[in-house]
Amino acid sequence: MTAVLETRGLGRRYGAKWGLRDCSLTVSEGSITGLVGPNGAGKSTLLRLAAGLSRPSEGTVSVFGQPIDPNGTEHLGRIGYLDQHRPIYGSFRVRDMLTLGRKLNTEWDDALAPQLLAEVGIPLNVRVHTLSIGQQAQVSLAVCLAKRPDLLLLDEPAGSLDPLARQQLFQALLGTVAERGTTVFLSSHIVSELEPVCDNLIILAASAVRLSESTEDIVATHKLIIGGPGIISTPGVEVISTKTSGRQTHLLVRGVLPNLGPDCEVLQPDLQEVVLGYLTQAGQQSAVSDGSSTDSAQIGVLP
Amino acid sequence: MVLVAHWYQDASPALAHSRCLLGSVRYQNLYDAVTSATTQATVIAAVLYAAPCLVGIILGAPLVAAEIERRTNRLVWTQSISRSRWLIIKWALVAVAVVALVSVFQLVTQWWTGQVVMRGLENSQIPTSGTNRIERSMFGITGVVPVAYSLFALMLGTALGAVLRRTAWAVLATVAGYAAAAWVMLTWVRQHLAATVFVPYPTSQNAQVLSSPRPVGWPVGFGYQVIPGKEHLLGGSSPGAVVSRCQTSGSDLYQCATAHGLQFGQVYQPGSHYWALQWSEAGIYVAAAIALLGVTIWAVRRWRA
Repeated sequence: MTAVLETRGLGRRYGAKWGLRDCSLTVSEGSITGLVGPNGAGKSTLLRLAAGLSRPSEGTVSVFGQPIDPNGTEHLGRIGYLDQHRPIYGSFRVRDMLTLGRKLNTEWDDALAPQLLAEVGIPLNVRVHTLSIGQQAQVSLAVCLAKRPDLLLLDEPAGSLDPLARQQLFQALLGTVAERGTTVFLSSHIVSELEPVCDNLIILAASAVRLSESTEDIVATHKLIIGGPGIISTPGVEVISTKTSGRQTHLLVRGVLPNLGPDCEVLQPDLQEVVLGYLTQAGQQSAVSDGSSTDSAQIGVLP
Repeated sequence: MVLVAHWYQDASPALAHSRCLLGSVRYQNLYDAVTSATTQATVIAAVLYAAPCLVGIILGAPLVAAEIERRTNRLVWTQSISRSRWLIIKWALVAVAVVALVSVFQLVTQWWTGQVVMRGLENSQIPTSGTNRIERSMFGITGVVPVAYSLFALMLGTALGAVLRRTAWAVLATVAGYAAAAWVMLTWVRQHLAATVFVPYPTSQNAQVLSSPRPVGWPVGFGYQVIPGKEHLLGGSSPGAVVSRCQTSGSDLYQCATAHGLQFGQVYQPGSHYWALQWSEAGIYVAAAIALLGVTIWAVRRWRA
């Protein structure tokens, strides 16, 4: 599997504050990778760095094996970037936006964009500023997809869309990946939506990568333990997050569990619960200290 | 000195100090005649001088800055076109429109200033030769320089917009920059773009100056020159050193300078130099515009979110 996007120790600083720090990840060709995290975690920063719109403060980022040249048409021709704010020319008509895409790009699928817009019922001859925000988002998406890039960088593409439109978006993404081997790298708040679509998941919190694995592995290695108050340690198991309510303790753990006995209930968490666990861990760590190291405490149960 | 005053008053009407008749009112000089004839004339003249700067502000300042403010640059700079190519094409379309618009506008302006000059000439008492469009009140709105001014203003607005990244700041900076450039050109540069002509003031020694034809043109200022045949009186110093010595010596400047072989007079750009000055000044402004285009390309390529 060739790496389409690769970062090593990537960081971006805004004045004194780091938007992203020590980010090392790999996105392989033909995969759909989801990027989740709270607001301000660095998702948009990472996508902008991959698109070449931002310059790294430290570390490296390479796309298709080459370092990024933001003025190089070679790189620009192979990526499709959709900004979180979905900028668009309000005074243009919808078909003018498609003409913009056609004129400014070497590779352009003339049939795809009108087809996508027809599916969601957006006429071509109206001015963009008369459309709703969600409809404008769909026009931006159509322009992005019709470029037929090899790497799609989408910053919260489902943001303003209604549930039906979101479903259609993900169908279109799955379709383009299956047909052309496009690599999709998208960010979202809504983990439950990403679960059926994404091959890989990256959890970003507090400007650092917390987890970067395939969704299958995540589901296989994480367990939710609901137990009583007494716990002792067991080697080889990592506690991700702890939540105590009254007499019960919920633990999200990772690793191979020993037999814990009848007092503990072991459940299979879904992706959303895993993500929540990591985000809670990040929140706790930044509350206590600068969050530079993870806790590798171990668990077990008092007999 | 009285001779000098009379001589000024009787000079040809194309000079700043001439008498004109417009209607039944006498005016002291052509500029007064032009601007007092109707309020419309004043407004028109002001608008014509301000027009190139307005072009720069309205079309140039938002060219790059508004794209950055509205974030549409994140859309167009991630398509398959390089940023330089995008900028040059966008700018070229606007520049062609500006040149076309200003050129058409200039036809009207040429006609208007021509009318003013004609009226001034008709109503003057003294015959003249040459054109008076070279003088300060007319030069900047006639000929080819307005097109050069508008290209410069457009490019200044675009460059400042690209560097400052905000349309509002670019507007203010363009006004300030354009005014500064115009002031520098008017005060220091324009008079040196062609060789000036020196006409000595009439004195008791050279009364024949009064009868020779005075050049028609733009009086740049006061100057001095060595009297031909009297270079030995300088005593080896430069004319400038002699004049400053005379100024500090406390004695009468005029007598002191004359004793050292200098004569005072008026420095002119004659009317025949009109087109030389026009093309030179236009060339300077166009060269500055091209340099600013380079600055804009650099700023656009350098931009990062």
